[in-house]
Amino acid sequence: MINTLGLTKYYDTRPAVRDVSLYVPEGEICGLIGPNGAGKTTLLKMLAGLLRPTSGKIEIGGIEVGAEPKQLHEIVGYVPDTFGLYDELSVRHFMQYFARAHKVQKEQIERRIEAVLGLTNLTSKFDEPVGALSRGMRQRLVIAKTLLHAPKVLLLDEPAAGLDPVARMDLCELIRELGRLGTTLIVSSHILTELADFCTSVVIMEQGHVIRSGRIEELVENLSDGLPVRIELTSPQAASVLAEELRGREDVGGVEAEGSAIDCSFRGDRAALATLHREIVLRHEGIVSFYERRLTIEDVFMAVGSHAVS
Amino acid sequence: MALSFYLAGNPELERVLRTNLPARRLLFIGGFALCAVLVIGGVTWNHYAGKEYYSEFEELTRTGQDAYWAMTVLLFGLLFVLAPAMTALSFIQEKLRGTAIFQQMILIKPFDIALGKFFGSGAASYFAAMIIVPPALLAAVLGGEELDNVVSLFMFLIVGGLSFQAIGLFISAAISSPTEKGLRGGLLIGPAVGVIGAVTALFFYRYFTDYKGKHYYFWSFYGMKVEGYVVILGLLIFLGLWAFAGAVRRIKASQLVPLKPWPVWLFFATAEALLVGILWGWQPTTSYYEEHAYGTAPIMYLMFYMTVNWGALLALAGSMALSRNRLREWWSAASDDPLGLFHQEEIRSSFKTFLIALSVSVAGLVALWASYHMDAPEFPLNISLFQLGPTALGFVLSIAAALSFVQYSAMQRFRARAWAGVGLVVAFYFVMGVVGFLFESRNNTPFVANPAFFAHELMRKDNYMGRTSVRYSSYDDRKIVYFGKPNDAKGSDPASLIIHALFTEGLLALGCFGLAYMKWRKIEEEMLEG
Repeated sequence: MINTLGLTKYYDTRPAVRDVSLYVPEGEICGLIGPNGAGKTTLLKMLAGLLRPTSGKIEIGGIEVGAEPKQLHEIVGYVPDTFGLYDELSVRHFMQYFARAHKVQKEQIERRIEAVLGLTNLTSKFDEPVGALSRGMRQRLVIAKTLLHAPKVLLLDEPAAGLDPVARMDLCELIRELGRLGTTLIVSSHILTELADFCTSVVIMEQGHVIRSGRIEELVENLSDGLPVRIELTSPQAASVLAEELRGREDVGGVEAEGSAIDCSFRGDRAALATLHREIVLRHEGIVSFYERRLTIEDVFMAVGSHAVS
Repeated sequence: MALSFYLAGNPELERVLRTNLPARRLLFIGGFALCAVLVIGGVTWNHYAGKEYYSEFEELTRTGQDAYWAMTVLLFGLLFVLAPAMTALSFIQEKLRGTAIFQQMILIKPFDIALGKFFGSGAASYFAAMIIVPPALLAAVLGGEELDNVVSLFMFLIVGGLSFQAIGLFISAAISSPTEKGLRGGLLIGPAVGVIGAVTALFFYRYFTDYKGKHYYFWSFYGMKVEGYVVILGLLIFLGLWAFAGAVRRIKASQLVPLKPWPVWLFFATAEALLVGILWGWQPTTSYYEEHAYGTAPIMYLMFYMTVNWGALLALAGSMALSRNRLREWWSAASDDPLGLFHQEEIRSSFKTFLIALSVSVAGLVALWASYHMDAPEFPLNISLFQLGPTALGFVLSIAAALSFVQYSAMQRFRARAWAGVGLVVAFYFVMGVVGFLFESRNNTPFVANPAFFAHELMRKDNYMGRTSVRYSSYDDRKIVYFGKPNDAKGSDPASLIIHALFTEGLLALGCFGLAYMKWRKIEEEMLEG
């Protein structure tokens, strides 16, 4: 659905995005992660047709964007990280304006508005002024208005920023629902654990470059050298003794002791891991817990790149 | 009617009206306008009623006259000041509110967005004006005002008001700043446009009333006698239409729609045609016999023309100068990259636009200069290239110097980029002019560096360019009599003046070009290495 080749954007002599080549298949929920200044917003704006690249190619939904990114606006929806709304309008008039502004057919306007407000759980606010909505509701309202013309691709820039935990959970649920409906999404966020909840793939950016991208499970698999294991003990001394012993084993690698906990990876199957567990418990005192740790996007993010700001 | 149907289908207009003019505000404006009308009527009637020295008819007439003028002033305030000021805020408000980004993505045509904002922002003023106009017309009838004057004044009111609104819209669309502080500064544009509207109304309204039909106030357009108010209306329509077109173009640019260069060419061509027409030689002022009268010597008109053009070309240079970013696009374009080729084409096109604008400007200069030499049939035809050539060349050289310096500034890391260069160029010529005036002899380097000053020094003694008035003794014998003679003051030696001026201006152009070229090469190396 989204295909870029050698996408580059310079601000003056400063490169914001450098030689980005991406492929995001249809229906994917792709997380865009990276430190501040990594080029995420610039990349999203180029994909949204709001910024003309310095060089490179963009193809979205079969449309190859050359000099005229405006044509993207028919198939792409973009929710910026910061925005304002027409507070004086009611939700009804706000939605009607954007429906007409996006050329939704006259007879379909009310039906579309009803559908997207239902999806974003804002139906009850239909006649309320936009200015009276909470931060989370405003965020959902912008997503609702972006969905009015049924975009094939939805780009969300830091959608959870500034939201309270309940609003964040609602937003995550909404994004999952949009993914189920077949919309291709790219979501940029700093909150990696949230991205893990709904993303099927990630793109990690640093200093304008894409340093790693792919489906989450594949990235995690490539990252670990065996099964990731965490052992928690009662004291740092006990942890240090056990870590020393584990380092001497051939089937255990990447041993790192931090305080009274040890992280390592076990090269073997789960039956062998159970055996290791039994051995350790029998030979060492003070074992509080021993479990197979699930690697997350956070681990992938921390493992690659320098996290430097461009 | 067709327009109202068209506007009814404009979602932007509807949105602006809902945002700016909710029912409660509409009620307040209506009430305010009615109160204003009642107060004006009451005060004027109270002033004249019951006075022994006025007959009842006179009381009514004088009340009508005063009330008409008071309401007209109110209407000018609404349409010339308030509506343009509100319109000038329209795009800045969107940027400050954070909704501009949505306007970049909507599929409404840029023309419709501009139209929606234009009429939506002025709606409050139109509404109040609609309430005031009927009583104002009634007062005009009671006051015995001439219908012809009332109609032309109202025409000025409507045309001028709409034109200033369009100018406000254009400035609002053109202003951009990455900082909120900068945008907040842009809010001052609203009142500024309003003040300019008010000054224009004060300056010109008499051309639509007292001065109508009076030959002394006739203007000349390509030698034809034209009523002053017709020229003013024409200028306002011209400015309004182009300002609106400029606003639409700015919206297109913000939506990354590729812009065609020909509207800029057309603007320059029509603007020059208009300016040359107004400054054209043969300016008759009386009805009894033909006269070629210049209150000011033609060289002053020529200087005015050169200054206006110099300013316009400098502004064009500021808007098209290549920033480091644009240079990057130029150098990084691969032959198989359509985007890169587009960037290159855009850059080429902006240079072409500048050359066309400069050519049009020089053509206008030549035409204007020739017109001052051909307007008196008895004068020997004297198209002296000895004056024209150096004047035109000096003008071109100073433009080349300014363009090079502006380009040099655009490649620096100034916050204002090319506009810093524009400011510095203006400051340079201002300082040089002041210094030049300090010398007794006008043939001094700071003075002749300015092509308009140089032209003045070269031609102020000339019979054609330095005269203030030339008149036939009678219509029949067509014998020429000078009323105002060319400046008798001792002038500079033309040959040395020309050599001095062209050398100065040439050196300046060469220096600025060299500066820009060296910077260009340095950046090229930096970027290609990077």
